[in-house]
Order: sequence, then C-alpha cells, then structure tokens
Amino acid sequence: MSEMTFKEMMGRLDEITATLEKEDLELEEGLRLFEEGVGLIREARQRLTAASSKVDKLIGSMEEGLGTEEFELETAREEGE
Amino acid sequence: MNTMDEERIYTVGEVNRLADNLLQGLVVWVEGEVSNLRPYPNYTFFSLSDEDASLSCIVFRDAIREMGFELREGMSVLAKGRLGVYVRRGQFRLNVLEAQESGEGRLRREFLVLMRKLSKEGLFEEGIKKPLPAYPDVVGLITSLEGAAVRDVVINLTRRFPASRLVVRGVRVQGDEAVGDIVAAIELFNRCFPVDALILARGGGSLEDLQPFNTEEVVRAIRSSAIPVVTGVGHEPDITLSDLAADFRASTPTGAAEAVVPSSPEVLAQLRESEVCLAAGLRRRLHRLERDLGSLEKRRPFSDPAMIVSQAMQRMADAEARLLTTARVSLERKGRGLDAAYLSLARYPREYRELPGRIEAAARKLGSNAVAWRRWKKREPDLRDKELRSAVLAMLGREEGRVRLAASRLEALSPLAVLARGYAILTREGETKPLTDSAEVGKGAAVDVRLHRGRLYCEVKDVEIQEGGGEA
Repeated sequence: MSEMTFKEMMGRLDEITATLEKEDLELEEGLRLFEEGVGLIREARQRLTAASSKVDKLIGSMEEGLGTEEFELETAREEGE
Repeated sequence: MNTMDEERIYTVGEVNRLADNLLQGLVVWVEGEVSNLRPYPNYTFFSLSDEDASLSCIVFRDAIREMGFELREGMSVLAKGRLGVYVRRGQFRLNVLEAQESGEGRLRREFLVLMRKLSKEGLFEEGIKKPLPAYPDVVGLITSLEGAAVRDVVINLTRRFPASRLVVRGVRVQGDEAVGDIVAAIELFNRCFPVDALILARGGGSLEDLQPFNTEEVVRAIRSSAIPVVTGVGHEPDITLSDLAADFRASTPTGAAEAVVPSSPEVLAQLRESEVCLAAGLRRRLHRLERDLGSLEKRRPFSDPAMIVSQAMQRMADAEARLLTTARVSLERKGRGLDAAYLSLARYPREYRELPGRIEAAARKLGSNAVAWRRWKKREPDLRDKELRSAVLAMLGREEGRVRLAASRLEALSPLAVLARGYAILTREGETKPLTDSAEVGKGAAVDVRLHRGRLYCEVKDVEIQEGGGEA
C-alpha cells in the first residue's frame, strides 16, 4: 500500500466508497473493502500529518547525468514562523 | 553643386543646399528623448536630446502613421532618419522615417507586439491549458535558489501538503542567461525528471527584470511542456507572457504553491467523509443481517439470531413430521390403530426427547452472542472486521454443524428405524403397552412380539426377574 501514490490512494478510496454505497455485496466482500478503505485512510492521514515534505535540489545536467540532494532553506525557519 | 568652388561667391540658399548635398541623404539610427513637440496637420517637429546634445527632427504624416505609437514629451525614442539641411532656414535636422519606443517603453511595445503574435497563434487559449493534478506526488520548482521566491514556495508548499515531494532546479531569472536557463530547466524536467506539476517562480521586478519571462522562447517552452506549468512571477499588476502561456497563473510564488497542492486540512476533512461513507456502507450491510435476525427472533421460543440455525430447525421439524407420518401409516396398515403409534412415540429414545431442550440452549447461546454482537457493532469500525469473522460467522458455522448432526441422529433414532436394526417390541397378548420388565409376565403367559416385518405369537417358558426394578 505504501507504494501507491497519494493520487492512487484517493482514487481507490473513491472506488471503494462508491462500491460500498451502491452495490449489493456479500458481507464478507463488504468487510474486505471496508478493511482496505480504512487502511488507505490511515495511510493517507499519516502522509498528510508528516512533519514536512521532502525538498530536494535537482543537480547536474542531461549530458552529465542528474542527481538530487537535500535542499535546505537557510533563512526559512525564523522568517517562516 | 557637389564640389566647392573657392573663387565663387554663393548665395545663402546655395550654401545651405551645398551643406544638404554634402550630407548625401545619410541615413542614421539615433536614440534620444522627445522634447519641444510641435504637431502640424501634415508633419510634426520635435527635438531628440540626450545629456550632451539636441537634434531637430521632422516627421511626416505617413511616417507617423507607420510608427504605431504617439510621440509624447519625455518619451525615449529610437529613430531612423535621413540627415539634411532645411535650405530656407539653414537648419540641420533629421527627417524621421521610422521610430520606435526605446527603454521601458520599447520593452512594453515589444511585449504587446509579441503578445499579439503569440495570441494569434493560439498559445494563450484557455482551451489548451492542461488541468493541474489533484494530488501531485512530486512538484518541480524552477526558480533562483536565492531570494524570496524559492523560500515562499518551499515553505508554503511543504506546510500545505506534506504528502508531496518538492524538487527545486536553480536557474538564473534575470539577465541574458536567464532565458536559456529557464527553457533548459523546463525541458530537463520533461525529458529526464518527470514531475506532476512545475512551478516557474520569480519575485516581482521592473519590466526589464521580468524580461526573460516575456520572451518567445520561454513562452514556447511552457507551451511545449507535457507537465502542467504554474507561474508565480512577480506581484500584481505585472503580468508576463509566461503567465498568459502557463496552464495556471498565480500572481505570486506563494499563490503558485497554493494552486499546485491541496491543503491538508481540506484533504483530511475529505478523508473523514470517506470514513463516514465506508462505515455507512458497512452499517447498511450489518443492518440487513440484523433485519434477518430480527425476523427470526419473532419465532418464539427461539430467539435465535442465525438463519442457518433456523434452517436446521426446519429440517428437524420435517424429520419429526416424517417420523409421525411413517409410523401412523405403517401402524394403520397393520390395523392396530393410532394408540399403538402414540404409545411407541411416547417411548422414543432419550436423545430425541432431549432435543428441544438442546435446541433451546443453543438458541439462548446464540441470543447472548447477538447481544455481544450489538455491543461490538458500537466499537471502532476498524477493529470490527476480524471479530465479525471469528465471533459471528465461525460460531454460526459451528452451531449449524451441531444442529445438523442432531437432526441426522434424530432420523436414525425413529422407533421404526430401531426395529429395522433387529430390535423387537414385546407386549402381552392382545395389549399394546410394550413390556419393559420381566416381572410383568408370569411363566406360561402369552406374549406378542412385533418385529420390523411381521409378528410372532409366543409363550413364556421361564421368567428371570431383575431385582430393584422400580416399575412393577
């Protein structure tokens, strides 16, 4: 589940709620979908309440190859608060 | 007239004409500030000046029409004209053939010209703008690594939606190199580092500062980008051609960050809503099960929550009815009347007699499970799933097996089935009450023996009495 993108998670969640709302499912299948949905919500919440996004700097060039390194704002902290 | 004759005395007009001829209609480009503007119907006089000097100019009506802008005092102008001398006055002047605004004014004019051109090509049409992703996983930022713009985007984006990753590509945003940097960065993301959305940001500045964002190259790079581009350049009311070409235009870098990612509180509220929907969906399913249970509960004395058990009960009732019918038919055929049938049924074995009590006990147990199930239903939804499986469905399965076993045993234990296994019913001659104690008959008494098939009429040879028999 952690390999899903946020967008994929939200899309799957929409699918599950729509299925649970409309279709006449077996109780077992309904429970399975419910369990999956609750898991997705938990994961999405976790990502949303993470301390902060990852910010990288893209370095290098097409010819020499690209890489990323962590990007930090020098003055962000005091001005941001 | 083109060469001077030192012997000759010239008229004034000839001198002026000579000077005019010497210039040979030389065409020059000159830049200066407009002053002393004197418009006439067919031409306009003005002066072009800079810090050092001033030049008289005339521009004719046709040339004015070609210029596409109106001359104003103090305006910076780049003019192309033919140098000459106005013979009647001996005045040296520039006959302006064409002119354009220079400096800030020129930039503004070029901006408008380019805007018109690109607009005609359809590059700014709303219809070709790409939608922004609802939940971008990776956002690319193209801006200078120094300055307020990068900080504004980084802070606002990471706070607003921590689920996104931000990748910054540093570029120059001012000066001659900026255009190449920006175009290369847009291409770089598109070719080698796909992201869900691109932000092109820069702090506010003069028109000249913003010039790179007003170039055809950058506009075309934005439009060629497969990744949607959001601009956050400068502050209102500055607008650049990049803004017009972008898939979404924010007026500031902060605004661009806000446009690209959703706000966490909003998404969290949406998740809460999804959670409610999920719970409601499951609840509907459980309600249906509950309804089924409710209709079973009405069938007293079985406050049994499970359809499965009810089916087993039905099977048992069927077996009982079959038993009675078989016994009755069979006995009637023998012409022995119903008394005998009731008699034999009153004596059916212990296990069959106990069955109703056992069923009731099972039903009570299921009833208490139903109470536990209702209590469980009120608990956290995400804790329920495993318990439902183990506590309800598995239990119902167990009960069904037990009841099915009891039902099959019941059929096996029919009194007639017992006879089929080789047992016999013994009565005194002409009576229907089965003998259970040897003390009930004496030596030489006549007894009837009923077998599975047929009947024997016998005489007792001897009697052995078992001591302690309660029934005499």
